[in-house]
Amino acid sequence: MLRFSAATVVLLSLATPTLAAAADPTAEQLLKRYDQVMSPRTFDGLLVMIAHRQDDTTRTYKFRALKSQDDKIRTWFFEPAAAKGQEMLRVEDNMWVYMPNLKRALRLASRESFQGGDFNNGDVLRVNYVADYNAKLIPAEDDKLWLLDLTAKSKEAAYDHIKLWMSKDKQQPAKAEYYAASGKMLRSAKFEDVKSFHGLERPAHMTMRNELATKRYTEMMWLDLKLDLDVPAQKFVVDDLGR
Amino acid sequence: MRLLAATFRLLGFFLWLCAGSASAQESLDDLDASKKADSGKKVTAEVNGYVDNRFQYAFINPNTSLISTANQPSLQEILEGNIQLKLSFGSRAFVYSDVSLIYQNGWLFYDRDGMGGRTKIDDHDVATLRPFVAPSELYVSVSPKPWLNVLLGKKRIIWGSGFAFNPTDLINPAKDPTDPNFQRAGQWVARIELPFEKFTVSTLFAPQVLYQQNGLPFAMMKYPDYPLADGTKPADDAYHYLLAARLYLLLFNTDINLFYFFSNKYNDTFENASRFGASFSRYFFTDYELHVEALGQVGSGKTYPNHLCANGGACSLQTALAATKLQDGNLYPRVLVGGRTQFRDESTLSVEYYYQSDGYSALEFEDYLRLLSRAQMAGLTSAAQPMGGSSGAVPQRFTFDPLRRHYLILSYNKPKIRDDFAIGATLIAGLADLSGTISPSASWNAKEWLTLSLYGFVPIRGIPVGTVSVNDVSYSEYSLLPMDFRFLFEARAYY
Repeated sequence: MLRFSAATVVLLSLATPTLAAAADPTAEQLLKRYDQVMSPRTFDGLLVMIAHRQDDTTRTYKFRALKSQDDKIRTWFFEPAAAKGQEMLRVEDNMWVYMPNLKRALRLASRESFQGGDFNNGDVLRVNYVADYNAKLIPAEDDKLWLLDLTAKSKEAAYDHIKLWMSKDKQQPAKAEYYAASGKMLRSAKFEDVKSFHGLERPAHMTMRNELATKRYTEMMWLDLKLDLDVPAQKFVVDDLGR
Repeated sequence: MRLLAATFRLLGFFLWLCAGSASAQESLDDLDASKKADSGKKVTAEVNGYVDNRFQYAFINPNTSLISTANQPSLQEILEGNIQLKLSFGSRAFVYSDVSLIYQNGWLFYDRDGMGGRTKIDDHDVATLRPFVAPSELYVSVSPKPWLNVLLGKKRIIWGSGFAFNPTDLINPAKDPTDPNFQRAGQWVARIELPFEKFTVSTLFAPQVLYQQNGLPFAMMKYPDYPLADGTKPADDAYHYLLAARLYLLLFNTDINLFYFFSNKYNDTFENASRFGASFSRYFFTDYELHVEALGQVGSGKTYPNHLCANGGACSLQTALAATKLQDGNLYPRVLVGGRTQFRDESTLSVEYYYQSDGYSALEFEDYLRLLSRAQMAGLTSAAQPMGGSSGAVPQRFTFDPLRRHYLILSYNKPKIRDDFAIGATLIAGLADLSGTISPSASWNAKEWLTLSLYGFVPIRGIPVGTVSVNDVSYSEYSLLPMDFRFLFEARAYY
């Protein structure tokens, strides 16, 4: 009986992608897929962020991001030298930044700029679209893409309104537009260079363009990503910052 | 020559360490090399720091102050080399040091000319303007279990939620509210901390440093029984220490801290005294941070002027200014309430109101000024010393040491005026007489590793309504500052 049940489960799980491919995914399924790809439940990542500024110069940041459960994430900055030692922590709706010069942590808001670049803190530390947004599918001009219209469930979400395009073939994010409550577009993003990180396929390169200062944009590259980690809860405690 | 050679050898060692830590980290495995040390095979080092040069000009005005300006230089140069070294022994233990080597000097001194003006006096040696070493932090941290951390050494530990000022900070050297990044020095402590997911328990023991040389202590907690070589006699035979316990809670998206302090002659005159504190910090309406920090104490360690003495009666140096409210049994709360927000243009505004119930009343402030005036006429005032140097902390540009009861601190910072340019200003206002200081600043991140900053510092003398007259001269709290303005140019290169 036990053997039969296991075989059934295996057969069903093999059949699931075929069934899924046959039917269009719902908005909720695509949103869940976005979260799985862009912010797996636990991960340890090494990232580089390059901020391109109005005067055509760049600023490069290298940092590590460690995530546990759906709502805990911590970052450590290694470069540039002026930012070395800085750390950021998000636990549920709370965010802190540890400033080595102040020797202490300060609270942060989700919508504040992430290291002065074109991402905001929520873009990096709060990727949980299922929890933060209501989604509906709307017609896309490009028939290779799904278009999701996202509306913030609460003011804690990074944006009031997002348009998110996802590819139909691999269900990967392709591009996005981020809006203020007034309807003004604040930023736009492109997701490129889909790679496999220890079995997880996801874009390794993301470009966020500031639509209010059009010469400014910021690239985020994932150099490495590990999944399914067991991290002690104490790594996500404000008193651990700076240790 | 020997010193020079030793310096170069030290520099070479740190450059070697830097080279090691600067090697490319292209994967998480590169970063996790330190974990191999769990098997005892490897110790990893991380080095960073900065070289900082500050050049300052102050227009010294001896007539605005009742304290002699003979040791206040108009021109001051401070060159600081900072090294932050972290040696990790696996993932559970590390040694950290944050040490600055500081060369400083001052020139162009002025004092009163006796006719309401100022006169230049000869350049001379000022003890607190000599070069020194500032070991801001130097400690070992061990976490044998995820829920247990033991720390021993010198560390700056700040628990309260205040931004420019922390009334519950009884431990550290005061910071400069016009530049909260500036003061990095901590105190010698032994701390045990138990961090959990939603709360942390910390206990701390801090012996007071009583004597130190070049930032390194050579008498802690109790004065030695013998006098120092320079003739300094032991001040007392008491034990000078502080015990602290703190409970941190993350409740309803709010940082809550509860503190208990027990101290004996630790940085003040309280003996075997208990004090309590609390702090709160939370974001409201998404973008508005609100914080409250409070300290409750029975009695006050502040010194108060003797009214009779201030007004011409007989008095002695011991009773003229004394901690007369130390054991009066009254509760003297100190409370800071503040908020912070970032606007759409990324500028940040911080507003804080500070109340200390043991601050001087108008009469006490007037008596204080009269006492200073009497001391000045009797030739008893000591020349004001620039802060820092002997305390093992970096020299302070400004220390918030409020005399009266109500204060407002406003800080505004606007980054990206153009890509790398930022401007800011900090206003500290005494609300009793509307005197204060305003400190505008402009900075330019010329390179990823180089920041150039220009700071101004202007005392606001106050309005006639709140000022106090002594000998027909009106004074406010911040009119006592012995300068009309000051500006400072700073270049900081990170490595």
